[in-house]
Amino acid sequence: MHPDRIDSRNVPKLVGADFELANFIQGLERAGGTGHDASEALLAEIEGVPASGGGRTYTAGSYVWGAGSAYGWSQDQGRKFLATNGGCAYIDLDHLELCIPEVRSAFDHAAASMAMLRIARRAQVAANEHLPEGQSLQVLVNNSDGRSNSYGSHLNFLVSRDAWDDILERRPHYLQFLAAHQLSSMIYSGQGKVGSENDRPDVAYQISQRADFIETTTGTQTTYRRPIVNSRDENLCGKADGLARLHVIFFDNTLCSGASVLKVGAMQIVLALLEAQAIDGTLGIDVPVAASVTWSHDPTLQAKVRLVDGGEATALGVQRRILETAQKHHATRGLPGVPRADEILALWEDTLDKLAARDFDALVGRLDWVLKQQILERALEADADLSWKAPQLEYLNQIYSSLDPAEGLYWSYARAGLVEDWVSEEAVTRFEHEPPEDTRAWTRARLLRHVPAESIEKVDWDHIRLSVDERGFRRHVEVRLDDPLGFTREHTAHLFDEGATQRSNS
Amino acid sequence: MKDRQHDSDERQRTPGSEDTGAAPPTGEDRQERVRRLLEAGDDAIRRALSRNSDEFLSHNRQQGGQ
Repeated sequence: MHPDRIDSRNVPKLVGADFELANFIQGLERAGGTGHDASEALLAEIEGVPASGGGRTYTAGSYVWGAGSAYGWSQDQGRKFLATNGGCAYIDLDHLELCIPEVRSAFDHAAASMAMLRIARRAQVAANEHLPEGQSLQVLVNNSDGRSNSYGSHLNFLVSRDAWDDILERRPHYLQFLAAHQLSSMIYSGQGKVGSENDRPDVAYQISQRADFIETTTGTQTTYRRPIVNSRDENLCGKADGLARLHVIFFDNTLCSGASVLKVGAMQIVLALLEAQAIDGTLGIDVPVAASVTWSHDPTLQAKVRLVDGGEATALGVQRRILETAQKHHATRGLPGVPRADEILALWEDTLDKLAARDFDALVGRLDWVLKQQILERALEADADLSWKAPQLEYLNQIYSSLDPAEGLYWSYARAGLVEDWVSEEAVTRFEHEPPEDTRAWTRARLLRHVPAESIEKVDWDHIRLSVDERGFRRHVEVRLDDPLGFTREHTAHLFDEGATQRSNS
Repeated sequence: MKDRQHDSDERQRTPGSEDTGAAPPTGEDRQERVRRLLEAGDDAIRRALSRNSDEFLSHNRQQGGQ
């Protein structure tokens, strides 16, 4: 659909995600750590078309140990787009960073994210084959290293420009509603962690990995004074002025697919409410940054924070209010921009009901923080010498999310059948090898497959620049993909099929 | 401060109250199933604790990211 024809009160809630992984080489000593070596080794094993073109593709096994950086020393290095699924991978501040292709539904987000992790896992296996005895490249899908260094699991959502301006510039009560949702949603979106970081009060175990690092309510920055609501304004939609992209840095990496679906689906719904101007404008937290720590540091879910109207509420109470607003709106006006909204609302309600009842047995397979807590408590029960302060507990906390299926605790319990499946194996496998068919990622992937590498000058989310030889002269062609909801398989498949037919007839 | 109504409401809700048509597992069945599945994964904890966690932790020094 052309951006100009989109109903600005019901923009389809397209989702993107980029997540930084922890990576290091155990057994290799380097002052300042081995993140740089590890991230370069991983990226070298991922096939892709460089964003800067240059007529190359990176091939596996090309990393030369000790040769210095293959990509230069800027913060964002080596970006390459995947011709398989239209996503991308690069290095950001010494972390391998993975970006899913744009998808429409929370379920596709969960499947695409898991697909990108499998691509990273294959890169890890390949990179480890080059390492000497005694060294091992480790990759963790989490958000802090226990030493007060945090890295992000970002989401981004398509919204109308009007809605973006309402949230970030015009209507403070919209910002406070969104902040209240993001913070309180940690009760299902948190991965959980041992202890506290960033000089926050000590605690044995807390719900969120990122909460300790939230230091302000809003801002464009992402590496310091991290805000609850990020105001980065980069729509990646070219000249589509009516569209904006809300960039979200608050959430944790989640491995349980139920948590992933709910984390994204609830945000899609909340943004749809904001866009439709259908929020509870009286809901807000008096001191949001403090609430982040208060709620995260209480896995019993009893902690209350002051609201702007003078009342108090737990995170669960705030979520209940938001869910009820969403249910009423859906019953009367629908949520056309949120695929499978009925299922998301049902999952949301069921999860809140079970949290309210403290039925953690029912949630151990759905929420990462609950699963991790149970794992750690079992370790404590089994060994009287262990305590929450023991380094072995921090180790278990970290390897919960190890990408190595033999070591990662999450994978062990998933194999045992404990974790709920909210996305199918078929969906995950499909996203490893194919782009989504219902967003511009489909055309991006097709172009990257069909255009010779030497003809690609630049790749970005909303355009690809080609250099074409035309009777001895070089001509530059820019393929604009401004509409993230357009350029789907339905729109452009015939172009690639025609191309194939012409080549076979020539 | 008086509780907001929503905080009072949440304590009255019980799991399994939705009408799904199919009989949900009873609380005790589900508890037993969860315990059994957690035990099935416990070997991973034992293997983990047998490894050199000090080396892992000392090398896990990440750059602050976004």
